[in-house]
Amino acid sequence: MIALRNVEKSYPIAGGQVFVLRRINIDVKAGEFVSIMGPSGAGKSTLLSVLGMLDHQWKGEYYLADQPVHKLSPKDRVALNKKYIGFVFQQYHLLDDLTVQENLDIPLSYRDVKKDQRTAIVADALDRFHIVGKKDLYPRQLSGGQQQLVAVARAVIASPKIILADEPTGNLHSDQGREIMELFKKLNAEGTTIIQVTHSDVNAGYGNRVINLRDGWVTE
Amino acid sequence: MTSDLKFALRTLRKNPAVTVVAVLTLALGIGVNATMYSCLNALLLRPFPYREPDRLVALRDDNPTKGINGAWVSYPNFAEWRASSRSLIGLMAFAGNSFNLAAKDGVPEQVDGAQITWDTFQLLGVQPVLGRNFRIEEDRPGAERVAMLAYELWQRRFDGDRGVLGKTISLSGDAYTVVGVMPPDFGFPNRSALWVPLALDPVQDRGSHSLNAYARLKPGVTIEQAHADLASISRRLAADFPESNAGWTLSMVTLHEQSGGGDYRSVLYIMMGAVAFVLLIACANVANLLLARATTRSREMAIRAALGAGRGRIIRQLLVESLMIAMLGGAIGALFAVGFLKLVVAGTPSDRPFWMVFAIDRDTLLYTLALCLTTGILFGLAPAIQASSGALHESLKEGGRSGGSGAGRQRLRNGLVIVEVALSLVLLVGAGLMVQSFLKIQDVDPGFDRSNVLTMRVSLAGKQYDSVSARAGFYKQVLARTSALPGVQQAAMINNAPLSGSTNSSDFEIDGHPFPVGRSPTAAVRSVSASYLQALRIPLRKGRLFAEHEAWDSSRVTVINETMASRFWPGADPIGRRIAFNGDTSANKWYTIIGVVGDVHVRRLTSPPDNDWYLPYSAMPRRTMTILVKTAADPAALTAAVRDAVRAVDANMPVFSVRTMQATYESSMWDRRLYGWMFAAFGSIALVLAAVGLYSVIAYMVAQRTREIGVRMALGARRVDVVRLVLNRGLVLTGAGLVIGGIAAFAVMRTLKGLLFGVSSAEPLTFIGVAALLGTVAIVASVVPARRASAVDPAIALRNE
Repeated sequence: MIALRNVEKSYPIAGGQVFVLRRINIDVKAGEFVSIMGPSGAGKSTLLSVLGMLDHQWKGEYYLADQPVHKLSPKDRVALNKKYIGFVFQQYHLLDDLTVQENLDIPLSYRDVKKDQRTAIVADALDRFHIVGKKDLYPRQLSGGQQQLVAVARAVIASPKIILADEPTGNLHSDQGREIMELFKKLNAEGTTIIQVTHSDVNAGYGNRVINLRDGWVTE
Repeated sequence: MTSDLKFALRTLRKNPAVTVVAVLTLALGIGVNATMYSCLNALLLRPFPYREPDRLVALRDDNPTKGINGAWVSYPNFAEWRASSRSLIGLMAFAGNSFNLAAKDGVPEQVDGAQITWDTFQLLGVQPVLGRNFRIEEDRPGAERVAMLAYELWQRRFDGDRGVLGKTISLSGDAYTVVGVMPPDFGFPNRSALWVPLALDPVQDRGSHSLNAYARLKPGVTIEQAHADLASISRRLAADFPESNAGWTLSMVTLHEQSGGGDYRSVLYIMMGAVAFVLLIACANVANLLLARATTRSREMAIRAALGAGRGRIIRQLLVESLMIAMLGGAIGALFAVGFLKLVVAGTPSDRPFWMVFAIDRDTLLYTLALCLTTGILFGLAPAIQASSGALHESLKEGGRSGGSGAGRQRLRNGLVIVEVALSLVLLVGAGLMVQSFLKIQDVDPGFDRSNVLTMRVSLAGKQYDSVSARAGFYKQVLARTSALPGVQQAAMINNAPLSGSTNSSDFEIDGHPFPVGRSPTAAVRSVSASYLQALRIPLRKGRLFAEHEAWDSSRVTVINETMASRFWPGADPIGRRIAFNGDTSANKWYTIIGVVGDVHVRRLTSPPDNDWYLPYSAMPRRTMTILVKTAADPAALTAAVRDAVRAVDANMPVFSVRTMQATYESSMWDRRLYGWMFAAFGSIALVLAAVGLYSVIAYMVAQRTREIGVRMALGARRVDVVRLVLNRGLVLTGAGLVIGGIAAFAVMRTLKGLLFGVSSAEPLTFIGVAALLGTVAIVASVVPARRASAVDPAIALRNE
């Protein structure tokens, strides 16, 4: 599903370069649940951004579903992102000025899904994630756990093949965190590939593989 | 797109302060542009209300030797062109005229009309709504008198009665049969209320350039071809009639050029440039506001991108927002324009031609719409591109806080403020020079005392005034009665009051000093009563003024002005010398100069004095004269009494164009006053917008650098150091704007030269004063955020971080 070959990322500084990712070689198969772990500054979130095609400033080869991402134009990368990837962030990153329902609608609208179809899909997701009663509320009217629930619902609404989650439970208390991780496990069991960045061994335990990063290098 | 619109509306509602400032800023910019476009449309762009107006041309006579450009044409020449031309469908000639229209209630009315060649309306392609056009046999001397009415006169004086056709009306004492009524809002050539046939005898003075002439080109004929056609006829006429035609050449211009469009063209384009500057400043301001907001919205954009929005989609979303602001600004701007246009129209003369309509019409609204779309994209694109680019993952990493502003974005914001200051400087220097010009014009001594003088016109039409003695008798009685009125110090008359816009000029010859054929000099002929020069306190320099009897008997005496005296008798005494009308062959044609008086600005305050040739009324007994009354107190209070004095002499004689000399003086400067006010308004708007722009950039910078300021203070910076830090930023940006603006203003002001009076386009005090003003405004705009910065509590600033 995913293959990185010698991926490197660096910033220019006076007198040289500072490397954030060094010669990253990773393979992730379809249906895997992979956890990326490592200390702060190891490059975990940067690696996730590269995988999610939010970051284009890197070198090396990146294949997603056999497509050479490193050769694609920004436009084609956006198309690939739309087709395969859903994001979940530590800070939820719901759009403040949109209701729960509208937040769920956004990824579909960017995929040019017709209005009546979108309405049906959003209604289905609201029901599936048990947030029908919250559909007209704004993010600020929800608890952290509820916001992350909506964020996960938004990540999966366009039926992505891969979910990239950046410390999805970092801002949640343990019960809420567990609930979200159970949800990921369920999604994974249904066939979605999941790659999460986490500091938590407990959360890593929900997955079936761990990739450790240190100073930009894969150490395992 | 619906969701984009919905979200844009929500975003605008969420930030009401930003939205209101942006919308009002644009409304001002779009409002002044729509106003100026409306003026441009009225004067230059809107086609004349005739059939195929671009096939119509105006004919003019020029005499380069005498420095005459754009003179009217003589009827004999016109008749020859009409008979011999091959390139024209037809030619029409016309002359404005005033008529005393006898009214049903007994009060006579003076109406403006025109004498026209019979097929004028056919050639214009405008048909009467009632009745018929003139016929060829009605356009001959001695033919039955017929008239056509303007729609408005028909409605007002004849209650729109269709039975008016065939009825007889009395015009200046003569009976005319009404044969037609023209359509509404038609007043060819200017504001005519009625028309009569020209009915001139072709055997006329060929040297009298007294008619306007238009021609309609044949299909496929260019203006150059038509000109060549008529020029060849003119050359033949010059050879056949050298006395009258030598030195004259024919020119052909479009109707817009003929109607003053040429004169206004440069002014209008300069004004359009000025309002474009205002709009650019407004756009820069709004772009700055949106750039600031884009910074705070970088997280939102990053999330959207992460959810699958392409860059185009994000730009579209942001452009929808900026276009919505632009459309709101445009709608309010159109309302502003309605108000602005009223102010502009109030500053222009009321006797505008009928086709010159100032209105926020469909064209102006379309222009406004185009402006909205252009400005919406102009000020929205840069923030949209900025917001959609950048490191998305960085924005997401920073979480809920606003993302980093980025050096590029900051540079763009700084650049916009520099541009704003530069453009403001150009506009304010322009405004300063225009206002100074206007003030300088007010300093010009017109050469006469305009205080407490009432003027009004009287036109002695009809058979009873055919004789010179009848006219002299009428005016003598009127002056005697008026002089006797309580509060009147002096009553006088002249053919055309100074600065009234009309003059009569004539060629003259000097006894003992012959001029070559076609090279005799020209002077403005001033037919006056004896009391005129004293009533207006025009100073006597040499000799004496007219005696009372000399105005009415056949005394061959004259008074000239200083300019004429020094020009033709430099270093010599002109008293006792003799001058005569060029071409006068009578035995007693010579007028002896008895006095020299001070110069008077007859045409305009900005024009140098002409040769003025004052003649007693008896020497040039015009039918239409201006009566002047010098009073002890408010002259307007005597209007009714003077009217009554005229009616006491002839009950059917209307007076018209009643106004004070002060009003005439002021209206002679209407254009300069209007330019000064408009530039001052544009400059003021620019100043306010630049101040707002500078304030917003500095305030934003302070907000962005709160943590840095906190750290500096924690490290020991004093409040004054922080204030200096912030002020420096404002002053550096302003300084850069002033340098660029100064250079630009120096170049732009050179194009204004033609509009300036008594002031150089590079007047250093204006440049320095405007720069100082902008600098002061910049300091004031920077002080508020600087004080806010100095009040930062380092503990709170650092804790927030």
